[in-house]
Amino acid sequence: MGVTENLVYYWLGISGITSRRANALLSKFSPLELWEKIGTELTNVSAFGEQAFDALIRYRNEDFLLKSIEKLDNMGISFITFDKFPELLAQREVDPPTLLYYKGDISLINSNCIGVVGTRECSLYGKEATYRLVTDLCKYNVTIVSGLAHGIDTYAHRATLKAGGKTIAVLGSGLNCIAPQSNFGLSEEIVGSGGLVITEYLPRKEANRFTFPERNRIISGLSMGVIVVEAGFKSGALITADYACEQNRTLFAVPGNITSASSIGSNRLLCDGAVPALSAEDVCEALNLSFRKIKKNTRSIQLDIFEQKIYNILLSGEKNFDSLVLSAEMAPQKLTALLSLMELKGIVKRKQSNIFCLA
Amino acid sequence: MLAKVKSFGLTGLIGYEVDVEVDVNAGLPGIEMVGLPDAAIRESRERVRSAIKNSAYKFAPNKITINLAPADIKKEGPLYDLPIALAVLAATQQLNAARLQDTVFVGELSLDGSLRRVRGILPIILAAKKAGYKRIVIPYENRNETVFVGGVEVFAFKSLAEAAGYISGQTAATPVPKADGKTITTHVEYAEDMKYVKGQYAAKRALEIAAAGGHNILMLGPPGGGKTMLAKCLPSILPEMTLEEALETTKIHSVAGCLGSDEGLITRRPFRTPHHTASKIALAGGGPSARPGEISVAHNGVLFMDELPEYPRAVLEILRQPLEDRQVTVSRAQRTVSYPANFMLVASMNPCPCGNYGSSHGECTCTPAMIEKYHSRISGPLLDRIDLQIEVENVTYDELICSEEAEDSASVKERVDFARKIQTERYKNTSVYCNAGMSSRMINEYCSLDSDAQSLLKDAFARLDLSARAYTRILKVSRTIADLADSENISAEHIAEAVQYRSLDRGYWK
Repeated sequence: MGVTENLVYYWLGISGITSRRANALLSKFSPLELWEKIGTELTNVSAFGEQAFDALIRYRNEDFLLKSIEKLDNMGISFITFDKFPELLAQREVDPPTLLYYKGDISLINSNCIGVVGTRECSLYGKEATYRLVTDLCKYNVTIVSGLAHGIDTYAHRATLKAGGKTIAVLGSGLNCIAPQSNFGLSEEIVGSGGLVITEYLPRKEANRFTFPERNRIISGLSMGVIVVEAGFKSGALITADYACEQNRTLFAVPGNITSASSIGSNRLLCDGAVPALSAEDVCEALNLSFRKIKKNTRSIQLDIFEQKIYNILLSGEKNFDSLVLSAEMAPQKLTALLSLMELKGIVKRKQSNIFCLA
Repeated sequence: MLAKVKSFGLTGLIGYEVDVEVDVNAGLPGIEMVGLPDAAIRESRERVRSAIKNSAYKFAPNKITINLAPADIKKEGPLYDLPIALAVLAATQQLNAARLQDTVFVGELSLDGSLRRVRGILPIILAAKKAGYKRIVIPYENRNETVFVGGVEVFAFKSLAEAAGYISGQTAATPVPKADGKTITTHVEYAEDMKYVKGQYAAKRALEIAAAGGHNILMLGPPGGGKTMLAKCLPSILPEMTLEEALETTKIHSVAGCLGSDEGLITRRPFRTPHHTASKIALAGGGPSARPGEISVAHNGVLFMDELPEYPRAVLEILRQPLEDRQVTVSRAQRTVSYPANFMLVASMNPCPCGNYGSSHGECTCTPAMIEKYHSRISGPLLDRIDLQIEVENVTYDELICSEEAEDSASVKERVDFARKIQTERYKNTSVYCNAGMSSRMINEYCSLDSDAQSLLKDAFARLDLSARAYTRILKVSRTIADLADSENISAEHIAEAVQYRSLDRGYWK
């Protein structure tokens, strides 16, 4: 069995040379040519760079390469090489790796992706904003990209799964060392839902303080635009924001309370020119995605006299249960049952602390 | 000369007969005590000696042997002072031994000869009655515990001299009068009343349901929301104790030694609030003599655990088995004892470590990971046993100053009593007494849903992020709601209300 082109790409990828160099080499030689001639005819080290040349020579072993692919296969992990990257990811500014490992549906990287990132130490507001934006964005058929970290990232993935959308998780670790561990279940769910979990690191690579910022460039690289939901003064989400700017992606930020510590960074981004992400419509309009919007289901619901009463009260904003009892002048048990029914009809929504609002 | 006196001992709540035998011989003066006495009994020789001397009797300088039969059970507590003293008097012919027959004696002596109160009188009397004894002599201070036990004459004396006088026939004595055995008419006053709780309509309704069905309840809310106040109101809406319940609870309190001297029968449902530093043994019972713990002391009442996640996990886990079996078995090297533990668990907790998560009054400073960790301190199996989970939000100032008085406990209690009556009828010939205790078979039998209710429940599971474990809980709670509404069938409306009492199951904690 001869060496295939695919194997050559894998060889280039696993040797760890930069994609820029790999592309430069491939502009001069065909893949098979490179494989055949390196070390024999191509001995001009300076054309490769010393380290890259050494690495390519070291990994040029057909048996080893085939075995390592087989091992990946056994772990249920697939890989994609730089030649098959979508245009956005392959951009020079992204500085993409030559090889990405993944589980799930790889075709998602060619879909319309929007990054949703934010701090791990998010507030309840951040969670609500994430759910609201992501749920609506899913109606536009976009793929939500995030980093599987605690906080906003987790909520972004969960909200997508709940809305029945597709999501991509970009890991800062190998596929066999998912960090944080508590999100292992979430990663399985993502793959199970037809989503994608992807990383540039070898399966057994543990996450460290450098890998997380590094993978942020892939989050923004995959995406047309990046939404920073909440970011504190020194949040890692700001690194993603920087990458997004460098890579000419549209940067969005969700406005937050000026008193809230977890919104300092995102508010600062707004000052610096990020687009305010007030709604999914705003985001999609800025990205010229509006034509894809799936028609809203506007069936009318017949309300009875009591439901109408509650609806009218809630029109002025959310209310807690006690004030609903007082303003609706209804017995608590009757109101509880009524609110349940309205919740099931999708008219009202219950939040924490017995607060009800219109859905 | 030999003398024998009857007394009783206790293993847990079960009494057993003890023969106190005293033999007085010529020989070197001294007291020998056999029959596995504990330190308190061993020391009784000094109390007995002084008490006899100070009661104007003679304590002869002879060789005295005291045996507590049966010899293979470890005996404990100072309750054998009185029988030993009387046996010594009889053996030294200062008292007519014949008159000691057929009477049970218990009591601790003080050095001046007066009788002191002892623990566990009520179970002892019940055991003596069962063993066929007709007369019992006890310390005066314990007399209130006995008034509800008929069929046995109880004589309560203040001192050894009084007791000896009665035995010898020198002084006449009348037995402690019995209370009317059928009803407990004592009107019970509670410090807290529902009418003082402003607002909190949802929580009050949930408490009513909990009281009506005997459901365990968890209250979740920021500090200062009134969770403790609400919990303290609960005893005031619980149904009155029946005589059997009262006797059982009193028995445990008697053994645990937490019965006041003026307290006869416990007619007020116990409300126990163990601190979160309580140990496993303090809660479940134990120690060398296997004393009852808080969960048994709360028998037929309420066990209130404030700040539930602050309890060590190991302590919380011991609640699981008693919550299921309604009793706890304490095994120690010396003995194995079962205590009833049929309590209603009322727990409260903050939504997060700082307490403000989801609150409209303050900003939460906890990270999602911290909140998850906080919630994970309470295990799933324990949550499984809590039927109602509600959120209690801070009341607003407007509600606080609202002069309109809320419904008082008495009228809530009326509804609760009504619902309980239906349940008593329903579970007539079973070991279950309220909806919370329904077995799977009973749920099938009594919680059948019509198609409307069925489809609503199905909808609720799909749309409200309810977890699977919520299913039977919702059925049980809706059964109680239906009982409160005097409805034989569980309708859609009842289910609709019940699904709102599953706060922790709802997805918004994730």
